[in-house]
Amino acid sequence: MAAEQRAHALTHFALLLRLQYRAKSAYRADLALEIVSALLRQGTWLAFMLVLLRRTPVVDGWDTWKMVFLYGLATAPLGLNVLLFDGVWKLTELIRKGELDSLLLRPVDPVLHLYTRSVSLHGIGDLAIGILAMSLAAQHVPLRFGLWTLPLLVVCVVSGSVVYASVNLASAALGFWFRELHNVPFLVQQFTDLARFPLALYPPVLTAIFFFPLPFAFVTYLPTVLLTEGGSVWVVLTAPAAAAVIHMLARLGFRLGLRRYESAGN
Amino acid sequence: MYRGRYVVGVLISLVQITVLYYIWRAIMSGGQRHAGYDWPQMQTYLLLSFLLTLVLSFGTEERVSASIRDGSVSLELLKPVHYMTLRVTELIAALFVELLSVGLCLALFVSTVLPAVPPETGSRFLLVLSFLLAVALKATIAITTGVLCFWTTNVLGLIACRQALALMLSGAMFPLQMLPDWLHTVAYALPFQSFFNTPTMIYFGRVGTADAAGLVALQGAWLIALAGMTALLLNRGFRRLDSYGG
Amino acid sequence: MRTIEVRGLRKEYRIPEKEPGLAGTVKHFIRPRYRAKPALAGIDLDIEPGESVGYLGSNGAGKSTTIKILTGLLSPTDGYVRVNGFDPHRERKRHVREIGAVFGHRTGLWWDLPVIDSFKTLSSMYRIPDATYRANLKLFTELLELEEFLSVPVRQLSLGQRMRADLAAALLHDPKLIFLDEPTGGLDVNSKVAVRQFIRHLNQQQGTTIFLTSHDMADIEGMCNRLIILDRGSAVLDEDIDKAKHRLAADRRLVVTVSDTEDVAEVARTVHNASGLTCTMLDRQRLSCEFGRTEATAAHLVGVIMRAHEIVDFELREPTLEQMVRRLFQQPPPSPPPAEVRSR
Repeated sequence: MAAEQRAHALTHFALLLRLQYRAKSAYRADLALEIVSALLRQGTWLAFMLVLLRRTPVVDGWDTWKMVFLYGLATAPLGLNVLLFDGVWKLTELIRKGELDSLLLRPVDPVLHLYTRSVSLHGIGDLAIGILAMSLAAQHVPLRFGLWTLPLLVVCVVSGSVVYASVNLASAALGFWFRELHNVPFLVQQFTDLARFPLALYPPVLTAIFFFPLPFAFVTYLPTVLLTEGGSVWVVLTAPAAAAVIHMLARLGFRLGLRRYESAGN
Repeated sequence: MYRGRYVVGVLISLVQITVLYYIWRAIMSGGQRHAGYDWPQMQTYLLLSFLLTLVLSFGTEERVSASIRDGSVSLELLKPVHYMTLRVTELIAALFVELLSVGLCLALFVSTVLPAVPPETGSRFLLVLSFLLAVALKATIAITTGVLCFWTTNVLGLIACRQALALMLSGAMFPLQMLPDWLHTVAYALPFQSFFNTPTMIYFGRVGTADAAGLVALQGAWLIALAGMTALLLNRGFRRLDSYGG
Repeated sequence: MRTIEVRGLRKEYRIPEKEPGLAGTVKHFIRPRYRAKPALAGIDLDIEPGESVGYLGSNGAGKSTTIKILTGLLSPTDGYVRVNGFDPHRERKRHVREIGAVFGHRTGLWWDLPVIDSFKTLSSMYRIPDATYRANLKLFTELLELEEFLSVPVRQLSLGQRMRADLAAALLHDPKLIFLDEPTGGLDVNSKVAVRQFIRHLNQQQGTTIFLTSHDMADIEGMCNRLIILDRGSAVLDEDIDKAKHRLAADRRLVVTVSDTEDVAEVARTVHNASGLTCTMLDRQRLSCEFGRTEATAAHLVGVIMRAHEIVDFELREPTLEQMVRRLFQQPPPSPPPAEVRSR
């Protein structure tokens, strides 16, 4: 029964995505603008890195291409996140305007419903630039796992997008308590910029944040180190594990917030 | 609660500058100079970048565009104040708050964390003028982008585009001299370098008084051009709004 | 099984007592203080399958609170609530599958999607069998005249179109019970009529149970068989709509302004002699007469007065909801403000 329900949830999720993509692509100009802005936003950091590394090819043992690889691995899940889970950005607005009700009136999981509330094709831009960066880097960096790198990367990118979505969900759920602080998700998103660079550059306090509560390290930094320097392949499995844990916690936060919403109305 | 939101806004800029700071630190750890800047100078450079990002933050800009987007424009049109005056007053008020907090940040930073390098400029007057013009330019372009709401529903995308370009081509991330030549030329042809590059170049004494005056004049020219364009767009936009019947 | 069964339903909101400013927010965060604000003070409801109930009350009387509790959106503070046998809040996911809900001022559709795509989404969400979906779509498209805007994105619809689409969306899965919160608010006359007819049709042809709130007496008259009036968190009336109308809408008021050559007391006497009604004098020229539907007609009264006196103006006022509710408490109606009476 539970398995069958889950299967149905997935079919439903897929249908919603398809319809939303079709609706979104009807607005060509908007879509083009969004993709360009995604490319520019992500490209800025890539350009920054390339400009700096033109003069200083090795930083803290990280050469240019290894850094580009890390950048790609951190950027691709951002794109996937936009493609699958972008509706989370609407949560603070839904709470403020009291429109969360329409989510609760449906016989499906509200979190899943929220994820697809709005998805955007401009994620293709981020995803593309991430994949491009990784494939460029792959020609210069020795990858230790040969062809196995590919499935490992898929695991990391998918887990990464779940991690990003969960962190977004948790920070947006703060809106249940602090309605006016609706820019907290933007703050959390800024931290994804930090995660695109080797964590070794940062002081330990900052690095610790990327293990908890923003466990980006498991999906970006650690896998990059593993794939380029070698090590136990089990390290990759910490990516989905971290994704699962943070997702559970984010859902818990959402549920607590929802309980508050349900007793207070608006 | 607006204050709480502002604090979060400052934190957002802080995170961004943190990335830049630590990467620059790693790169300059060998005691090298980049584009003629040593580490203490670079720290000051980044501090200036941070402070100018704070003046007129994303939040302010978003409010400008939101007020247009939500059709509050048509409401405000009924008020007997010229739209531009209204916007400018609002922006100046926001600026005042932000300048005040920036001043506090500055005092805090300089006295504790970062020993800032004092300006090496020949002309203090030009330095102050170029900073003021930089702020005025940022305010103007915020309004310009906001006004584009009359034509597109997706102004946040536009803002993001512009900010990405501005971040890279204004010199906020790295001195423009580090760009490849062709991009360097492009950067100087665009208004973004007037936002940040001009005042910092003067601050660090990288240009002689004559060149500095030229750059400041360029800032002034951009300001006039952008303000003129905004006025034109506003005019058109209102007519468009009228024809919709508000 | 009753469709809705409610016993002693209470709801209190906790209002945070917060001092203004950042310091106040921090203080509240460390030591939160609340005061209780009662919204529902013990409601009992029994609604049988196939009934059509109008839930009436002024703003803040507790209408929305009730409907939110019955749909599972809000948790009750106290009391027993069963809708279709479910505890709406605890068993929300199963509960909402069996009901339809339309909140007039908000849409349950997908803003960016064309109407038909919203329907498809719902069909998948509620796992509506294909045949049912197609039959319902056809029926609703016809009855609500959806054809012309089925492929238009929801954000481009007019309010009336959106409401029609929302109604269809709420009923695609054949719910046996539907909640409507202010379904005609802000609609133009034509859309109002279309919506009322549709709801009537559902109730009479398909036996769907209707629970609807409105400010608008005409809505209730047009769609419901039973009226519940709510005031300050309690149900003050619950009866068959025709009886209620008879009892409550009984008193109308005729305000007559006579020319300054007349004596108002004299006019009052004329009315009293002719019909037995006692009128009150509002000032030196104006007279207010209250009468029931059974006692007299307005035309008759005006005729009686005009035969003996010179009338400058007269105005007939139907009782408002406020007045009806007030009458329930047997409070004397306050004298009408002059501005209203003078209107012409």
